[in-house]
Amino acid sequence: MKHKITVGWVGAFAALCMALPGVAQAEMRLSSVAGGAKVSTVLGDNYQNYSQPLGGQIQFWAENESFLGKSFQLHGSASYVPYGLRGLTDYSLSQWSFLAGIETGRDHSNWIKPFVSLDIGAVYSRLGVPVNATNVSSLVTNTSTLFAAQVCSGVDIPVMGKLGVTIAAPLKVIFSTNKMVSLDGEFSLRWML
Amino acid sequence: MMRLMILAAMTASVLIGCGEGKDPIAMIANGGSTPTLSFPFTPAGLTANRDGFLLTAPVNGVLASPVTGVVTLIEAVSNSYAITIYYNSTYSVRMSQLNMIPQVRVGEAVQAGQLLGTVVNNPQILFSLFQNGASVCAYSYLDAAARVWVHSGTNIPCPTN
Repeated sequence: MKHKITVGWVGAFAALCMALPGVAQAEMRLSSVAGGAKVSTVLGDNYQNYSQPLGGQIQFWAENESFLGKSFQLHGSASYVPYGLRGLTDYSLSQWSFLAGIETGRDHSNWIKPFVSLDIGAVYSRLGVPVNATNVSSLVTNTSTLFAAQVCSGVDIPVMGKLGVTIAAPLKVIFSTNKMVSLDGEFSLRWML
Repeated sequence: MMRLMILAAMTASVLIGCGEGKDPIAMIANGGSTPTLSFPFTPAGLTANRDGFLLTAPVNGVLASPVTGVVTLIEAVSNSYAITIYYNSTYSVRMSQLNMIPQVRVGEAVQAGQLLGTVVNNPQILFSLFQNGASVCAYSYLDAAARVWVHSGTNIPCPTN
């Protein structure tokens, strides 16, 4: 089942990749970058398994009016969250997320600009096992790279000049056999280019 | 810029589904449920112990995992071995006084009933269930077959702590 979902989304992704080269590259412009911190909470049955760790992320936005219009921007992000496992001291589930999609709302005329984005991409997970957990057997490494989708809403507040702050709450789904749904709280400093 | 994004997207597409061992998210999947335990073998005898059940193994008995979980510890304890299997954030199962090294590795996901090794010379295995780090009576968590086995012999009360 997992593979069917994965293959389907990879196909859609590949189709998008083939369509994108048609876009006029000269009109693509990096519009802003941001970096910040996030606190992640895993929802559902998995809530009891994971801690609520502090992670970090970087983001960028790009404009292309001929492709996306004035209201939408391309949005990309890379983030890292080290979940602790409740009941297992020194074990951790490290996750690196690489997502890209579209976003709208930041061109709002209000001082506080609400926005929403939809991203898809991949999440690399690694179960960290402490080396001193054993004295008679070697360790097994467990990793996976899975498809993920994220919907994010938040507000963007200009602070001074090109500097602004972004407060957002992304809801991310990782399509594992045991789906992992997480709700994060993000705070980022954004620099408009 | 666009080429970079396309390259990143294609790289991600290729990598999706890759991994080593088992998917960690699927491994840590028992959530807040309570375990249903099976005996690691059909015991030749059983006595209650303060820290669990002392199960007498049959000669050359096959040791099976009593629960689905993750092997978190394999240790040598005074000429014998012990294996700890993490079920979820609340429960762990530990089998000690094993006279063989378990045929799994720390960090490995195991399924209920999966072969862990073969014990010889019918040793007494200490079978313990831990709830939030403290040993609890495993009887309440045994599956139907194991309970029937217990009742076919002597009614064994849970050990008092």
